[in-house]
Amino acid sequence: MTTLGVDVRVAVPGFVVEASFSARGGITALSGPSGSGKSLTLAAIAGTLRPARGTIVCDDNIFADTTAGVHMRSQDRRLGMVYQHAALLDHRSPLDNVALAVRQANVAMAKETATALLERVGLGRAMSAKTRSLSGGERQRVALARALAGEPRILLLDEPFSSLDAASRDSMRSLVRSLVDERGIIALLVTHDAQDVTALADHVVVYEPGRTVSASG
Amino acid sequence: MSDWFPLWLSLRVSVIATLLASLFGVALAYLLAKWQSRFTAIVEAIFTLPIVLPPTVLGYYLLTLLGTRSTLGQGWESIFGSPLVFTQSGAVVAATVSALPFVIRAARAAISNVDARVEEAARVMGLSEFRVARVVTLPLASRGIGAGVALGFARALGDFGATVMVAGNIPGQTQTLPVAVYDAVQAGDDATARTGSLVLGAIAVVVLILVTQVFARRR
Repeated sequence: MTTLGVDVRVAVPGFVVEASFSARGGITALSGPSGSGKSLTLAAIAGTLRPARGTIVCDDNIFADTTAGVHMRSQDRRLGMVYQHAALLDHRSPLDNVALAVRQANVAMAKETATALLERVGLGRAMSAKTRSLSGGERQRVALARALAGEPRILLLDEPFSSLDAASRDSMRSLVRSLVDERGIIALLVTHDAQDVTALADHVVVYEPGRTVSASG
Repeated sequence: MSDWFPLWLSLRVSVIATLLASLFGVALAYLLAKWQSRFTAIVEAIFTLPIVLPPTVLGYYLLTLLGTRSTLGQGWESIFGSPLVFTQSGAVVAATVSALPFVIRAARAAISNVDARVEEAARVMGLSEFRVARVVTLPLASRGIGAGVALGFARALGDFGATVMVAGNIPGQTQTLPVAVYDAVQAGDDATARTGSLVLGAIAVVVLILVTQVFARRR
């Protein structure tokens, strides 16, 4: 089973967050008010932001260790990420969006994997649609399929439901639940919505502005 | 206008110049957009000079840099066997340098405007920096880049000063259409001057319509 250990200080101009927690299997919610530093923590785990101090370790891979000067590239961390706004490539089809993330040089095989994933998230018929014309819920499903395409060890979910209407939110929640269980991966879910925590979280890391205060579960 | 050589030469020179300026300009714009420092500001200023310098002064610099007595000019001559200045290749160099700032500035702005989160998402899902540029950044910036390339083409086609300094004014060899118009006016050949001006004006209008209507339209 994959384990993730996070003990970092992440700083951006005007804001610092100290985060310390570990995660093992299932869905761990990072919960707290907006602006408490949850997404910054996620960015440090994703490797798009360098921590100011501390370590991030996933199994025997050191993602970041400021004392040793280690900073693994995002590309090498084997992560999947879903953002609040899907961040899809609107100029490519949903199928291409997912296929690009498959770690497979053979294009035909990558498309096969991507097709299976899109069918799994219920978008089998929208595969070649114009990405721009998809609804918000459909876009997040494509983003979820894309995040899983690289067979990640950790799925990072940054407020993935907050821009959805209630119906798509429910179906997206159960989709995340079943995919995480199927694949036996870790998911970190950043949310300020208590319902997300009740509905999904196996473990909870609670944030106050600027730091983590407790981990339970 | 009886002799269409200047028009064909102008078109050929500006097409080649636009290709060269696009290749080099987009690559440089990408670097400028991604690695911002004091150094990049200086580089950008240098490559913007052709917009603000009098074209004759730009031509003088190029002539000094590439002339038969310069290191670069002698290097060119030892490779290709003939001088660069006062040839059609010289005209291409003058047009390329004139077009470059338009490509660089538009491409740099367009590349900087690409949503960083979409690029980040691509990195997190494992795409190499080169693939991020090819699959994400450049396609998303393509309209802005296209506008810069179109303006660069118009500028290359219309160049007079730098071309005259570097390539000279040899009828049937290096005389581009803008230079031919000047010659025609000097010689009192109104018909040639009028036709040449109308053709250049028409092409410029088409390019500007392209820039404002096609490339600038929001997705």
